[in-house]
Amino acid sequence: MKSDDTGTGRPIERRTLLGLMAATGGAAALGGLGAVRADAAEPAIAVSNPKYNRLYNEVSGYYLKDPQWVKETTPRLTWPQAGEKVPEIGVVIPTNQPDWLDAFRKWSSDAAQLGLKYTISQMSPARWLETIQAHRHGDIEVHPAVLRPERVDPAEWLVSRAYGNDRRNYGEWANEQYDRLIEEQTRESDPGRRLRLVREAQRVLAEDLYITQYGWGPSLIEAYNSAAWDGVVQTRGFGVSSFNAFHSYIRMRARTSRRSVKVGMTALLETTNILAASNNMRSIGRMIYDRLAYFDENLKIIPWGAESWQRVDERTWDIKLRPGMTFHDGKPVTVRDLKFTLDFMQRWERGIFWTANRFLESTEIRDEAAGVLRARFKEPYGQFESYFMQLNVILPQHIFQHIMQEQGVGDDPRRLRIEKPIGSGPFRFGRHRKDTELQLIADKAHFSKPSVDEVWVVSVPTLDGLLGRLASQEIDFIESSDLVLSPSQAKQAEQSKHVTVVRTGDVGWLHGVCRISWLPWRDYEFRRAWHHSVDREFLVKVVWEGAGRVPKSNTFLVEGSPWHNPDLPPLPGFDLRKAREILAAAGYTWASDGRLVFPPPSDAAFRARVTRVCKEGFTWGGLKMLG
Amino acid sequence: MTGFRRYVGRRLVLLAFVVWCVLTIMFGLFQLLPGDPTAIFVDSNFSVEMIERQRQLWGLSDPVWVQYLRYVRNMLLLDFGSSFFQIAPVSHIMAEKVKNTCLMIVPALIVSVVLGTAIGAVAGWRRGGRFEQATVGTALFLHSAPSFFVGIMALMVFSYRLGWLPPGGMVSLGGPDGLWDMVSSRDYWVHLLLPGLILVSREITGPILLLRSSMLEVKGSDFLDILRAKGLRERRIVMHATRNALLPLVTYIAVMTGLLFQGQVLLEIIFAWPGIGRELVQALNDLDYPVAQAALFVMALVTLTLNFAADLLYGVIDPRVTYE
Repeated sequence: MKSDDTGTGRPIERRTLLGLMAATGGAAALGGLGAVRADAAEPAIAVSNPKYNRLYNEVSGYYLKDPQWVKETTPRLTWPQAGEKVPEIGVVIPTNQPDWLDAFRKWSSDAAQLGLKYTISQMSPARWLETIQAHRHGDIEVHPAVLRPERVDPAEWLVSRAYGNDRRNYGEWANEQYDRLIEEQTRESDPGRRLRLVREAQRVLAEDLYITQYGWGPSLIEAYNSAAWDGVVQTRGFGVSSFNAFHSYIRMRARTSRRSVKVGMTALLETTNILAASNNMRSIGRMIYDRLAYFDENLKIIPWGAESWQRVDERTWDIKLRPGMTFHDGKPVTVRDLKFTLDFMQRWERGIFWTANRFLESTEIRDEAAGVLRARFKEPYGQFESYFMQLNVILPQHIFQHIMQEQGVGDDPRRLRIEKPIGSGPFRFGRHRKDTELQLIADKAHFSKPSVDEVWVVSVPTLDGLLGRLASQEIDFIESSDLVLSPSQAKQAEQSKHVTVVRTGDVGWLHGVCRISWLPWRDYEFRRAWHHSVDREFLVKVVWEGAGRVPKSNTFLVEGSPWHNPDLPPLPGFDLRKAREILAAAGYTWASDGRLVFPPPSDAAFRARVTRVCKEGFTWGGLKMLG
Repeated sequence: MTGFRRYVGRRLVLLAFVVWCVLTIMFGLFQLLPGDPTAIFVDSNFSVEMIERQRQLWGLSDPVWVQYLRYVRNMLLLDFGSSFFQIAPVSHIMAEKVKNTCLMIVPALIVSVVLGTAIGAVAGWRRGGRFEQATVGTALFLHSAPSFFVGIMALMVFSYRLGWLPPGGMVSLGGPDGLWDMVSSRDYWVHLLLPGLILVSREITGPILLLRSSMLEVKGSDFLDILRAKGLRERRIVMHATRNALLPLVTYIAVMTGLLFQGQVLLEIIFAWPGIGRELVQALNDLDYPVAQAALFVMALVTLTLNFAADLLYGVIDPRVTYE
């Protein structure tokens, strides 16, 4: 049997054979045992540190319980033979991200000069999500960051994208030092000490060259009707018109007699049940239901429905409700409502509010008259202010108390039909025509009363439609949670005299995580060389039309984030010659067709690097090589 | 009459078979559709157990044959289940969307048929004249013009640039809501004008060209000579001729309505018209299977039913057709 893909005419490679064997069912059969053998003589896939065993062995449908994952992983954990070429680098890109494709065309062309070959596949966004969630995306998982309230807390990215025991860590990085820091920051309830841990974790991440930041941004470019509205608030990372940061709708001033602001968005207004809503309707929901804390335009946490909070110990806080609040039906907001809400979320909710409350152990009313509730967590809790207080809202007990039984929705609050939500937020729920329009009426009795009289949310399916409506003054703002303008779109919008374009500091990014758990990414020197093959300026200056920043360091918490570490090592710059030098020095060679070839099996330094995975000084706890 | 009953019976059996085929193909397509709805629905923080629970709630964990039988039964009972994302019965969503789509296409259909019939009849009657040449040329041009392009251009000129007409939606913000309030309001008709005209510009071409051809056939008929011999005026003769030429149009209208029902998807998106087409596109994006399946089924059912009606009508209105 001869290989036919390399053109070398030599017998089929052992790793390929192992892959085929794994694919033909042997792996699937053994997968149920929690270990996979390519053949009887081969050792099973295993991890260096048993603490990661549970993730790989016990999660149904993932990792070793997923034959497809085993099939793809086994050959890449097998030591390469002499003269074996570095495999093609697989990347999947969703069809709704043409800018990624443009950038990868350039990057793959540059990488070809290093002897690397990319295989770029496009797929529907739904398929893409499914693929990356199953860790079947190939070599590089590409991901953008769009800021949402739950992502103001640093743990959202630090944990989900890099913690060794999180299945959203798509490159399967398991750096023990990093993971220890993450565990500590999760439990660190002192904000100052937590900041230090978060910054240290960023340092480890940057030094180990796990992720690569392709670009910081894209910039938050928005256009709005400045002839009608003045004094908009630019919230970092959110912009002026996002419902997630609704400061503009509270503080801006009308320049005409019209006090009704019209906001267009592409998302459909799908449900009015905040417990079932996706990001867009949830952000609107938080204008109707008061949250406990909020963030200002610099992302600094500020009191909102809770007037203050006091740390009792590392697991316990006293939350003091703001006095004088009322629900939109006139009933007063009491500490009983707050207790009811948190208890309700713990008992019934399984979605985002459950996530916010999963560490909550108990609630207790300490002082009913003063509105003080004591919240006790199961373990020391670091995300109290920036997660728990941000995400939780206050539900009216008198409405929700028996609603589950009354509506017969079993134990699923997502099925609740809440036609007209009643909260205590700065806007009352007005008229709603599904998929078309939603009216939010300003509650002038609110402690942060909006200066506008009402906000009309208009659903328009396309960006072109939104821009046209902005030009014809049918709308005043384009909601920016999922949509920002490119410079050329902004230029087009600016042709209307009444439109002003604003740029707000962003904290977003587009990054890639390599599949560090398998070859060739396990080799730190390979990673170092590969980082030099990425022309980040091309993405920022050409694809993004200049609307972004060339990253300075490899971190999720970019410049502008309150959690950013300014002392991180700089990113390896775009330098193909240097990349080749690094590869050559590390023992890599090039085949006659120009493809990169692994160092020979006898190269002890290569074997040591691949076994160690991490940069010297750090220790690897993840997948081990086979054999 | 027995022959007619037998014919209707045969057609009904055939209709049922086609409906079953459509249902099965749709089910197969959705099974083949890449992507898992839970991937879109769930928050990235959800545990595997929570995702599995959601799959069970949606019935996605059941064996395929169980899903198929449940699906066919539900579809035949018009019980489309509940939307994954909108937390509402799909039948309610469909009823609302079908109503909205009808509010766009029915007026356009009426105008297209009435106006198209008149223009086509005159064009056919005046064969070889400038009117006929201009009519045929324009009709072919309009028929070929992609409506989404015409729609965007019209929107750009009449709404965004000139500001004469609203840029989309069924009514203005805060406008009338109930069906009767809406259709009796000026606001609705103003909003309908642009998408309606674009639909008419496309749909009118069918009746025009059909009537023209039909008139050419009728024009040489003996009965027209008799009418002329009776001394009837030209206008009356044209009307008589038109009545005879209308026959093929009846079946065409039925087919045209079905196609129009499916063909307005892009216009609904361009004009932000919350109809069944826009709903279908959104549901496919979200992998909201119940909504997408229901939308496709309703569209297919409308087309099949109208075709069936056309087949029956043909026999009813044309005495030359027999079922023996």
